[in-house]
Amino acid sequence: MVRLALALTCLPLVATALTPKELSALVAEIDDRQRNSGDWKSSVYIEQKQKDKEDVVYDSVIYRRDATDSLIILFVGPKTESGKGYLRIDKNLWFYDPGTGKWERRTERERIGGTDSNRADFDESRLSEEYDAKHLGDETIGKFAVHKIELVVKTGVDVAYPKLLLWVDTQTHNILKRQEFAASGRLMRTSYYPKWKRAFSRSKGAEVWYPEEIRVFDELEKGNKTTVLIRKVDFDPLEPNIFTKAWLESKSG
Amino acid sequence: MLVVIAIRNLLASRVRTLLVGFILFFGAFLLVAGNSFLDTIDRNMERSLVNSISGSFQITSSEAKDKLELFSMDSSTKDYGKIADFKKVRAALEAVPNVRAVVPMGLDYAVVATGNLLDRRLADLRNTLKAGNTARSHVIAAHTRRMVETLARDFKVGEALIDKKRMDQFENDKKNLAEATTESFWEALGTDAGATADAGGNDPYAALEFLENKIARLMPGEDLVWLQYLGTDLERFRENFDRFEKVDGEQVPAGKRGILFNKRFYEEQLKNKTARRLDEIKERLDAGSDFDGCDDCKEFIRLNRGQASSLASQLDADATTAVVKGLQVALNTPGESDPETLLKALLDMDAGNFLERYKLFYDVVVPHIRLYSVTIGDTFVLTAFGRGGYVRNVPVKVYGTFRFKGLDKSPVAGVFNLIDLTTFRELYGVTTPEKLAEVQALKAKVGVKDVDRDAAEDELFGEGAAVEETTTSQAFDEMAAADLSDARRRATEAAADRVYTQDEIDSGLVINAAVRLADPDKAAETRPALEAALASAGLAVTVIPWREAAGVVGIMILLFNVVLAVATLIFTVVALIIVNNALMMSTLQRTGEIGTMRAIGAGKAYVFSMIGLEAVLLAVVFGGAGFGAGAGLIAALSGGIPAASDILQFFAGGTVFIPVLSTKAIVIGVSFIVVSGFFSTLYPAYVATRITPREAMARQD
Repeated sequence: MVRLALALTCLPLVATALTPKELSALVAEIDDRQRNSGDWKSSVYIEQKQKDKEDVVYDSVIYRRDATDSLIILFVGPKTESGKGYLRIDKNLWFYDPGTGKWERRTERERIGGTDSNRADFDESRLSEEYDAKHLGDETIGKFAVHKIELVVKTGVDVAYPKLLLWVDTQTHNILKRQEFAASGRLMRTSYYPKWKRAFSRSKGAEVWYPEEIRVFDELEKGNKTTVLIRKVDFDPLEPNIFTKAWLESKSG
Repeated sequence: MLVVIAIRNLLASRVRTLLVGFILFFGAFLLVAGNSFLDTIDRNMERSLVNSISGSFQITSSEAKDKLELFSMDSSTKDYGKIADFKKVRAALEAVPNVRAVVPMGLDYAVVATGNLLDRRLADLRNTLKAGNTARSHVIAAHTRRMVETLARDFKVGEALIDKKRMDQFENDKKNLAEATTESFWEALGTDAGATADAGGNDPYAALEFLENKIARLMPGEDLVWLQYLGTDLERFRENFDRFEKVDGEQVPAGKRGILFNKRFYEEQLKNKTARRLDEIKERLDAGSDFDGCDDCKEFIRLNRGQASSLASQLDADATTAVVKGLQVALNTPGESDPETLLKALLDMDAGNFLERYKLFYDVVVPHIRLYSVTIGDTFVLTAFGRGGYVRNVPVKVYGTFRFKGLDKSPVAGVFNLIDLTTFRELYGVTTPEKLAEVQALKAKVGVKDVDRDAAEDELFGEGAAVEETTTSQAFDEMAAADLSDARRRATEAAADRVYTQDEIDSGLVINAAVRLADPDKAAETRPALEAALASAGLAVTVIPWREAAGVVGIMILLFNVVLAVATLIFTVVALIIVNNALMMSTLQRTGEIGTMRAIGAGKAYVFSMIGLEAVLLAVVFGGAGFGAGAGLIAALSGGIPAASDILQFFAGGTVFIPVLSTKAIVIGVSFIVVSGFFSTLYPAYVATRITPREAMARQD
């Protein structure tokens, strides 16, 4: 009886093991589902809780053009932060503050607005392009059975974290949990993705997935945590010249 | 009679007398000279700190979680609390007798991102294009082109070293560089400034963004400099800390915003690295080092040889002509016209030509390059994590550099850069009630449920959780509720040359403040009065003596005093034991003599006095000589000893160390003589009084 119970407990783990081909297809699927062939605009709320400090919140707009790997994060609230923004073009991440009128280069590890979020949280998913995957086994998170996948950065690719662990829902293929490690092997962030949404995109001719909610826990500064909420999305085409310094300056200057 | 006998006895056993005398001499000498040295160091350090930054007292909020440390090895964020209204504290404290002034302060760190050379040049080009300054943008564009061409040439050289896995990226960058070095590309930047695109479709901004995004990141040399600053009322700081002295530029005008860089920080962190290395070699040679025996000097020269290309790319057309002409003459190479080759030849320095080439570098090259990444007169951006949690970016104008007099090389002197109090408050990031209300409203509108870290998986993925839902893309106007007026207000304020009133400077937040006293020697008596004044004004503020507030430097000073006290004690005890032992042995050797004296009528008191007097004579003669020698050494060094190294300058409180015979040293020296004379006498004299004539005769048998 005990053996039977044990066998039944282990059954889902054995049944969902991934072959290298399946693993590669799964990571590609995660990327592809989040990719929109056209443009992307979303209204995003960011809330950071810090130990012994007041909460930090931002109301922001994300503009994305996946075809050119371009991204803008523009803060529109609170008033004192409004007009500040990030612009990603090619391999550059620029920060602009209309209060200073200056542009500054920032790194992939930039904490967006000083929160625990970084550029990759708001950008197109490029896991297959940037990392090599390895299936570590299957586990459960809450009531969900998940694949545990290790991702190690490919040579020559500049990413915020060289190693990731992903926990991917075996049924829906959505990422439920993500851990990011520094080059030293130190765990830096743990993120949870409790809600995914999918919406039809005319430009893609298919549905686009996005995490409606991301809960980021800072593993370095214990007690710090950030919640990112994507509240609205719009896949209509953006202005052609939007991903330029001049555009961001004109919006916030 | 006793004195004669004592002297005779001392002369009779000269070796013993000299041994004991030497110990007494050396002890007195060491205590007088050593204590004078250490007292001078202690006083110098006190003066250095009190007159440059700490004042006699520092004050902080009583709610501070961390103890104030003006100097700390730990750069983590500290909670020193905050004094919400400095004006009230100032009024309360300045009413106390003996208080000369209260100087507001706030310590913190910020980051300065200088960008690489091409980034900075392109930012200049963008600004001149926006300003419609055609002539200037043509000059900058021509110089930028030179920089890009140099970059393209250097890039090709690196091809052989590229990892094959990075080859795609390399090829892509090479293609971009090739495009950025074509004639047609630069035609776009040659169009009228301010235009978006000319009739031929040339768009200067598109070309500019191509350079900013695809080319500039290929240039190395971006710097991210950490800067420790002290926000203060610059006028009051200058008036009350007499060690403060302007070096370059000008003072920040009264009431205006600005920064004064610490000269040491400015040289070490913001100066062109080639020039800085040459300075370091020069400083070592000036301090007496031999070039050939200086490994660091050779390494600096080796590193500098590789900087010719970088220096050449900084030169615009006019500068190139001037530098080439200057170097052709100086290096006697009239046929060489390539600036990079000439610079390489200039930087190839050795023991024989260093001083001449050093002068040549400063005369011919330096006037045409950017010697500091932030120049006096520039406005640059300080970035800090504000205490309210938001990142603060505050533009600040550089007015000049300063130093603390006589402390140029002291580690203490190089720590702080001074900024005005308004900039400090902006960097500190006080959350105003309006902002707090706005944040609360935003939070309430969205209503994010807080999730505990440890229970996150159960809360987010437990029973009832559904991870996927369908929705629709919907058009929305992201700017409908956005109010960007504050961004415009900040930009306007930053650009404005506003003068703040004294009331505006005083009314507001500070972290700490220095209390300067009219008579610092009466600090102990003044402290209770300060505390009483703060209490009666209802202010929760703590008064901290400078030594405690100095942090690691205060600990160093305390350690010095403890080491000195322990060393004095140990030396005194050891001296007492040796002297006592020597006198004891001498007494026992003279048992027969003492017994005979007792037999012919000398009383115990007489014998005690005789032995005691010997010890006292030893102490007075040799101890006194040691005292005199110690005092003489201090007097002989009153002309000063040059303090060559950084740490010696800190101890010296300047470039010259002038020891002073301290009262404490005199008291300790005299005490040593008296104590060693008295206590080392007691037991031998007591033993001598116990010797009876019969015992003496029995021993002789």
